[in-house]
Amino acid sequence: MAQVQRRDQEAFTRLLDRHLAGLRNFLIRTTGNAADADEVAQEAFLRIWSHAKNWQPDRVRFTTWLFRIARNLAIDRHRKHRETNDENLEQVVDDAPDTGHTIDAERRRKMMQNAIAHLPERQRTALVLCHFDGMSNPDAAAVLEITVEALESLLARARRTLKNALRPLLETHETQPCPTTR
Amino acid sequence: MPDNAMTLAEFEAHLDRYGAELDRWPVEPASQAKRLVAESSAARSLFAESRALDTLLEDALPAATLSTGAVRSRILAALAEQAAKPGVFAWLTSGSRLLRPVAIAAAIIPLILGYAIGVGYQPGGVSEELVSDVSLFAFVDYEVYSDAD
Repeated sequence: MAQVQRRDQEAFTRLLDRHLAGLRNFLIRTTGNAADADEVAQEAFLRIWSHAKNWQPDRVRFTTWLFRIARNLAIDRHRKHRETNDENLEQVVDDAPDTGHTIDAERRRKMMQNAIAHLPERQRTALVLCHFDGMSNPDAAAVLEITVEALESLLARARRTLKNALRPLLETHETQPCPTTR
Repeated sequence: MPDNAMTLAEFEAHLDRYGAELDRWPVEPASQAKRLVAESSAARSLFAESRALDTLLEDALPAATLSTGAVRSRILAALAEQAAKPGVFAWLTSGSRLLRPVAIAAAIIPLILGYAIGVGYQPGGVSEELVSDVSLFAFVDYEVYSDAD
């Protein structure tokens, strides 16, 4: 990153290769849309290039900074396209759980996606960062610009909401053995 | 039960915060949780539910398998385009030593003029005398035209 700050384009390309896939996955999971994810990823990396001098390594890790920029851009984009997104969500709600019948894997997946899509943005982002991107709670808190306690509260609320919304699925879902004490 | 044993409510709160992957938990609560799960069927049930949720999450949002090649190319093309266009500041500070002061003056003079005009302008500063003169002048024209009729 120090080389990128000195306007080294090759260093930027290496940085892009290292972080693009991870950032794109994060954005697809939080926006639910690959095209939006690509647009936001592009804008985020161009911001990194043009604002490289603003990065302070002693204050924030590069990945945290990148994800924070991308999240803010995704929020801005969502605000601009709110009407379209709300219509999409309504359509998804109509496709709601049907617990009276056997739930196949595809339907179960869609129900879970719907439940995740209906979480408030901060809860969804917290869940994706910690559960999927393997970020530590302090790093995820830094992306969301909140305290670790606030992040853990978001995670707890998100998981409780999902559990309540999908309880019938959880009861029928096959589970693995529990851990044993060492 | 040892003094530092975890209650079922604490266990559930930790499951909500960290999920069923005990490696993500802080060390001490993780070992307390393992003891609780070994002893309590209610804890085992909560743990199984949380693990089922984790599995559903994994299935619902798998990692994207599409190549990043297209977006990577777009980013690099946009970067090259951006790098080819110098910013205003770069334009002002580039060029030969002879031209540089001219360019800076060209940017600063309109700013100074704008400031001077802005400061010099006094809203409501027109005297009543001037207003009355202008009004009378308008009537003069009117009278001239009236006489002509």
